[in-house]
Amino acid sequence: MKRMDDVVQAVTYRFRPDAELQAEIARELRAHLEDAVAAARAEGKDDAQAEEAAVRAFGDPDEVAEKLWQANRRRMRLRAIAKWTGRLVLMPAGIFLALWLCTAMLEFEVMRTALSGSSKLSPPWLENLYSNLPPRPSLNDAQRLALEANSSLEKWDQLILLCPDNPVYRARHYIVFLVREILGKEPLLPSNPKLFDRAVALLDAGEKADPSNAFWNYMKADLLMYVSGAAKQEEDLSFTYEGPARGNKPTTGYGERLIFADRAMFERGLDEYRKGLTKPFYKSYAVELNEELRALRESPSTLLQEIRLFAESATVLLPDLARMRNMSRGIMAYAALLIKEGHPQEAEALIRTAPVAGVQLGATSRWVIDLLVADAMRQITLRQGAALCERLGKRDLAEQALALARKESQQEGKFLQKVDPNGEEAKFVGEHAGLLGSLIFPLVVPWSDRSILIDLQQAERFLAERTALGSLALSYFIVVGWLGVGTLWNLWRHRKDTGGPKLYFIGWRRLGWIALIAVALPLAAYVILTRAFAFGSAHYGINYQPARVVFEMYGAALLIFGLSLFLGWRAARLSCREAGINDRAEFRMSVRRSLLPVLVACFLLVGIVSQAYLRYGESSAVKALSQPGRRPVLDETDYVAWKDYRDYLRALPDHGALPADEIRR
Amino acid sequence: MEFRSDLVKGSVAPIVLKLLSERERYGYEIVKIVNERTQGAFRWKEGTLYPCLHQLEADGLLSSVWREAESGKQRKYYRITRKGRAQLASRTQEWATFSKAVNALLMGATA
Repeated sequence: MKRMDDVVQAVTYRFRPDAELQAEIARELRAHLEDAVAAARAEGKDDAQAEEAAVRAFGDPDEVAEKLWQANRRRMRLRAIAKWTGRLVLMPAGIFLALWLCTAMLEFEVMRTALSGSSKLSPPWLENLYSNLPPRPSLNDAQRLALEANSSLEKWDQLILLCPDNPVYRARHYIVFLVREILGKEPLLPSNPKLFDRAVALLDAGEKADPSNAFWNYMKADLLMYVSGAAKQEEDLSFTYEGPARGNKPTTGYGERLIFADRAMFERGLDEYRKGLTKPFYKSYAVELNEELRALRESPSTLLQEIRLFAESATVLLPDLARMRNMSRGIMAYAALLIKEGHPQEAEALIRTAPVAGVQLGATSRWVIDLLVADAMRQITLRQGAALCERLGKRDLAEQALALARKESQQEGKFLQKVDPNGEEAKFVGEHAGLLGSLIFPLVVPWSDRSILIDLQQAERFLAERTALGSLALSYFIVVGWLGVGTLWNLWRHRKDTGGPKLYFIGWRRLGWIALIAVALPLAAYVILTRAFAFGSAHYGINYQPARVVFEMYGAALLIFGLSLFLGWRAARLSCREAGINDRAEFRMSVRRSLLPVLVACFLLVGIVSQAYLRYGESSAVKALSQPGRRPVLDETDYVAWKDYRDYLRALPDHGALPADEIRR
Repeated sequence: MEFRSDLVKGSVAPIVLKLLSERERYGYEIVKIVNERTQGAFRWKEGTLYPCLHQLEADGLLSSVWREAESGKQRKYYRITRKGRAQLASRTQEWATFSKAVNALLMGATA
């Protein structure tokens, strides 16, 4: 059969730059010649004669070669362009897309925390709460400094020099000073008069700039009491009172016993406290500072930035509130001491006015956290005050104080319904809120509108999906890279083979079908499924957790990946069989080369579809979270019960002080 | 009888289109049918059929697909496209007019 092969070789020789086309034409011509030989043999010719007849009937190979070349020139040129486009554009595009999708993995840390079931995000993440929100252009020095300051005392020092009259900055400056230099360094202060003097100077300057705010007086009172050694409080076993009821059970609380290192210092603090009582309000300006800093930055545009704003609202350090609560206990303990020492009138005056501080804090509050502390202060002062009034023999006053305390703590759902960790709300949060909802629970979740938890859950779901798609991209990336390297290695190994290894492209139509079946269908099914789940979750309370999303996404990803591998391999095998390739090594090579474009094409499709999906998801999640009223500021939010409590505090006569005995009698 | 190549040249494309308009066929089948129908009068250089098929395919008049023939072997089948049918109609019309004119000139003069 040598002559027949010669003819095929001669006709197709010019097509060798396009191995695939050459193989196809050779195959077609060989089939023709085989048919012609078979026909001649059927007429009774022997093999040699039959082949000669077939070759003669075929005509001049050179003439056919020239004409075939002419007929296929345009096709060859187009195929060459497509091939080079594929090499130059498709592969880099696929790899670029892979890397782009992989960036979703950057959120992996967040998701890992979410999936581990921890209720707290790791501190480094919180440190960078605002770092993703770029500052607005054209800020002045002070504004830029305010953005950078965070918990850096040095920067706050500088800022105070720039803006000495800004009470918001001054208050935060003192809080940072308190945290960095005073709290937790107990023995340091009395032996470090410089530091003490500096604290007092800061507070005096603050009061001068902001005279109607009790913050400065109470912080100074707290400082003096702290330095007096009275911070070492112990339970006073002789001083019990009726604590807030838990369920229907009354509880018993213990007052504190003061131990002084320097009683005069404590009494100086008491004077400062009394001065604070005359001021109209208490503010540490946490909300105001947040608003100011937020205004200095660009608006959040990504989901993560939105979520960060949420998390931030739940994690701001407010050490001054803890000091305020401490101070209330200290005052009541001092009143108890005064009674023991035989100064009933002085003690009564303290007891009567002690509930005022809570009102000063709560009545102008714009934050639920302030109201929670205000409530705690009111409960401490009223209930302990009631017990102390008993001891003073002021039964009426005692009853009045206790009645108030009970009213404020027991009006279920009216004012401050403290959340029972085993109660319905906690259960609801556990099931619906996911990580973010749990994080801000119970401080900023308005119970009148629980849909915020659904929104947060949606946000988390998209984080989860992004992570899963990022992982899918990574696996694609690895496989495409592996195939690419394998192909290059094979090319190099076969570099000396005559004719070179042939590239059998499976064809665009097959490629299109594979991409559709392997990518579009699983993704579409996944989207429909998750939408259905999300709908069910919102409407029927199905427990839909981010962890499940990740597993589902991995399932979908695996399906896509497996399908595209299988279909690509099958298409390559079919192409090889059509081309008459039976050699195993050559077949493997062709499979590898056919899989590569299949995977890259699938990859492009996955990338485009999933990016579009995630963009849509992210924008709708951002939209839901950035609705007005979703910020934990009372004035803008529909915290009906909390607002009621604030209004109640505002309406109290005499700033909520207990009435003087003389008036009642 | 062997025809002059320039005479054959113009007729191959319409003949191929005509045969493929009946049903899809592969290259050797076309040759075989031409030989049968003309009782061998049309002795084509068989190889020249393929450039013609490829050209028609490149022009979008034909489409091709590899599939199994009755013999069980894989053959490349050609099928006429819609555009091919339109072309066939106009070529047939053209041929009728042309042959009538040639007949009138070549035969009519002696009649």
